[in-house]
Amino acid sequence: MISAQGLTKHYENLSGDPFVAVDGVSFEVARGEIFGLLGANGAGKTTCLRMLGTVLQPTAGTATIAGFDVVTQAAEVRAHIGYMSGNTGIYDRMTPWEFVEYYGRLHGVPRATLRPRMESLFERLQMNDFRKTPGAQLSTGMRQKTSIARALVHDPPVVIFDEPTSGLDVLVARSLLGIIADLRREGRSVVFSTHIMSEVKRLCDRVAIVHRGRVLAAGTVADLTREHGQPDFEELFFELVSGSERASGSQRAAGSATADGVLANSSATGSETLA
Amino acid sequence: MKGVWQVFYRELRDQLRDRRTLFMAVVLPVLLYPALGLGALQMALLYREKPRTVVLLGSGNLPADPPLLENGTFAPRWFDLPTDAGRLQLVTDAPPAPGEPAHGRREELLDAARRVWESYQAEGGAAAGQAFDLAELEAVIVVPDGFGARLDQVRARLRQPGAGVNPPAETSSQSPAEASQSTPAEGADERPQPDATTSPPVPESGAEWPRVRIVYNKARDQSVSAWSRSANVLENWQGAVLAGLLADGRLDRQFAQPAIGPDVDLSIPAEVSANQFTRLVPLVLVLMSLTGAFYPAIDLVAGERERGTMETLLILPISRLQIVLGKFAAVLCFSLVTALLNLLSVGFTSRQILSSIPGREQATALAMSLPGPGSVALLVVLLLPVAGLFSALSLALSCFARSNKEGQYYLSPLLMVGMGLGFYCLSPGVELSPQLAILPIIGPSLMMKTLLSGPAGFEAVRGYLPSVLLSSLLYTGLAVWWGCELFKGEAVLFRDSDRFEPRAWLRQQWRTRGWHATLSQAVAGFAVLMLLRFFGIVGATAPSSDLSATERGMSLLKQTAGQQVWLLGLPALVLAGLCLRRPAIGLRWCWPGWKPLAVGALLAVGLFPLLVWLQHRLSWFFANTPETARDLGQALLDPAVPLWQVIGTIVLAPAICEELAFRGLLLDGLSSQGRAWRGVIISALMFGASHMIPQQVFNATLLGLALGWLTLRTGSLLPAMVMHACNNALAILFARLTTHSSDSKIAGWLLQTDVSGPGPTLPLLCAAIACCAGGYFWLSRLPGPVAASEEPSSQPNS
Repeated sequence: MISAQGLTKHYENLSGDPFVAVDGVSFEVARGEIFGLLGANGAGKTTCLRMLGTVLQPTAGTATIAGFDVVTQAAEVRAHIGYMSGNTGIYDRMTPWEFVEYYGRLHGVPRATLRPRMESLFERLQMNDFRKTPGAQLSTGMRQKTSIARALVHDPPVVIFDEPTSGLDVLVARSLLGIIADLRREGRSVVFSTHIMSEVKRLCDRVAIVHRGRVLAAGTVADLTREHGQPDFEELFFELVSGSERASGSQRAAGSATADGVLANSSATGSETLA
Repeated sequence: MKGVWQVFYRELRDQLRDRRTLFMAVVLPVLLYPALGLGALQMALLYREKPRTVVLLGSGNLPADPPLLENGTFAPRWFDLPTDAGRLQLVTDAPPAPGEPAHGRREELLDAARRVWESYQAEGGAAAGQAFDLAELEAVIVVPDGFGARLDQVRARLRQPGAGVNPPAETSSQSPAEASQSTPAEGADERPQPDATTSPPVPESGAEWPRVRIVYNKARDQSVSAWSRSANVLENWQGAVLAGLLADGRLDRQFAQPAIGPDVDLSIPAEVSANQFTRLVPLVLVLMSLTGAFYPAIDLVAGERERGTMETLLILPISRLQIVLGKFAAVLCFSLVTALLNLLSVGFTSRQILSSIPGREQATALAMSLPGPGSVALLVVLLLPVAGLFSALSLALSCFARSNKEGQYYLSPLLMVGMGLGFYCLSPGVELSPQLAILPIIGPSLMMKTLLSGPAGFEAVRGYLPSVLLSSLLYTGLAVWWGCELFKGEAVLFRDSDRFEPRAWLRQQWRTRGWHATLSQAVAGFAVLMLLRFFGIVGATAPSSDLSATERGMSLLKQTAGQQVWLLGLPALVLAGLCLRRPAIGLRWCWPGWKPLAVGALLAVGLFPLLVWLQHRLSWFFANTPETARDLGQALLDPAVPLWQVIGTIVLAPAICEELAFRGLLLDGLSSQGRAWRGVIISALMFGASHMIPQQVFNATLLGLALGWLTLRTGSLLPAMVMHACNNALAILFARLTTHSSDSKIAGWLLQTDVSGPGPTLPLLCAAIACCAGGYFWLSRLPGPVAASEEPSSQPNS
């Protein structure tokens, strides 16, 4: 359903220094599978998902969703995904009902289908209490539910969640995870990013551990713990990340050592010529 | 289309639910103007001008008839309006009336005035001025000694039969300084007795006739005000003095103004005010359409990003263009509604205020000076391009902002520019002209101004309508497209809070400059070139009219050539040098071989008759050629102007300079990312827009399409230069043929003349079409551009 091959994203800030946010990330997600991206803040999860969601264009690499290329067939890709993140807000001066309806219409859902689908979504997400409350007066949980309804209104086969539980209290987060599990049961593919281990352990069929824009390890939780000989998943994550840090640190140290060497050499040459 | 409508509908509903926007767009205009009007009325009621104090020296020297003073102040009849008497306070040196208490301030003022006059006579202006300001005097009227007596003397002489009319010279040897020193009482005593019988009027030409003087300081507002009021009084009084003299000399009193009678002013007070109102209309519309666009635009882009709904919107399966168009339509809607509501409110308030002025003719005057329904309809049509451009620009600019607050920062310059343009158009000297008509905002608002200037306004603007609307459409289109490009770019939508350092940015631009120009470089380049062109027009001096036609033509030619080289060709080269890694590649400066050059010449020969024919067909559409263009045209035909100068200015300079700019740098940037047609069309429109005169805009745009295509097809700038040069050479040839040898055999074979001027004959047209087809065919068989393969593909190392 989803296939990412060597996705890479470079940013350039105004002073012109390049910054690599995602560096050659590849993974596949099958139908009816929940795939997790686990990583610390700033690991490149959001950038990666934004590239899948066609909001950002990859600097290199390709990705297809339901067989459509995210760069050349962006419109079809957008029609086939439901995308929700902590950043995707809702409008202050629109009620949840209007908001979901607006997105349904823009997705081209016919009126006859739209209404019953919205009724069932609102029922399932228990949103009927606040369907006529303006967005500005909704609590974080209500907003999140509205965003989920918005992401599901066109019945997408692929759903992308970017840290959906961040900022939610335990109860709301729990019910949200339940909803995600339901989506798998309906046969949808779900990609979701998080930095919370327990969510991964509870939900994900497979997981990729991301750090500094690279995938350090990928597979089922059980496979990973077995491969790395570390039964505790949290410990495993920490070991992988700190291992990667150490590697890049020694690389950098090696680089500076070379530079020092060159410097020492040149100064030696300088003193020789002086002498 | 459906997506556009849905986005538009949502944004409109969203804005209507926003109290701030509603307040700015609806409540403010509805309440503001009545409140302002009420305030103005209140102010008018409460406002009373401060009376000005005037000191009069030598009141005893005044003649008894006609009396300037009455009860120690100016007689009311010398004022234009009786109520004006209260605006002037007079301090005279006449002895105070018996009952009046001594007044310290009065004595002080009199002393100061005397000192000022003395010092003026002794030392001149500078010292007197200091004393004048120190004493806070406002104006001093000095009546010289013996003034009244001499006047009486003259009048007595005039009454004699056969009297002369020259005034007698001063009989006493007193200098003016001494005269002013003498007190009024002495002056009265020494008054020379009129002795009509013994001294017959002797004409003494050139002698100074002592007259009343006003002393004031033009640099001080209070003094000027006191001066103008008292001068008015003295003027009226002088009229009566003159009338007395004329009557005594048995002359008709109309001799006072022997040549010019009273002016005829047809205005009615209400009409004057109505005119004031209509003059304000363009400014209100410009400012309010901008204000109306301002807040929704910020909310729709920057606000959306601030609330985090932008990303949600971008993952919808509708194109960015649809989103931008929907948002643009919503902003435009608010801009239009705000402007129209403001206009209605201004109109309503003015009407109310006007109708509160009593007067029977006022209703007719209003009916006459308020614009008719046709003009109002055209006004709304003209409002569209203004509101459209402002909406698109606001939308595009707010793409740079991450929050509402930042949006206000980015849009404030637009507000200032809009205000500046609005006020510029308001100034009385600025009138609609072909050059101004195609400028953004200025064109439409000047057109509104002309439209509202009177019943003939509609006729006056008709000729400009196409150029104003087309150019505005182009600007709006460009701004919308810019907004769209910004929406497509991800850096603008997910901008980090990067610190902007101009030097680092410039260094980065320099380091990463590519083999070809980018789109934004081309757009910025066009802006720079147009700015230079504008300065060129403003700075151009019209050749003085005392030169002969030939000299005028030559100086115009020289000026035109200078503008081409210094303000177009050279800047284009400099810009190319700044933007491009190797300018020759981006400018397509390479030898294409002889064949493409020949194709260029062939296409020019084929296209020119077609262009002439089109222009001939459309001659009804274009306004008259402006003066300078006609002078330039004359110069082309003048046999006294050396041919090399004509060829250099009209053929070579444009072919090189304009091609370097438009087919060089601009086409290169505009056709970047493999979008050749975008480059050809937009560069042609820009080329047309730079020509100002409607006919030339039209011709240049069509020619620009062919030139752009030729350049991209051959991969070299030279064929376009050849084609441009040939086209312009043909234009000279055509002009000479039609003027000098219109009755020759060749001319008769090529051209036929009808009411709208000479046009090509049918055989010539057929030959032209054949030429074009041949050129096209030949070009399509030539190998494609070679520059692309030679171009270094490696990225520049930084």
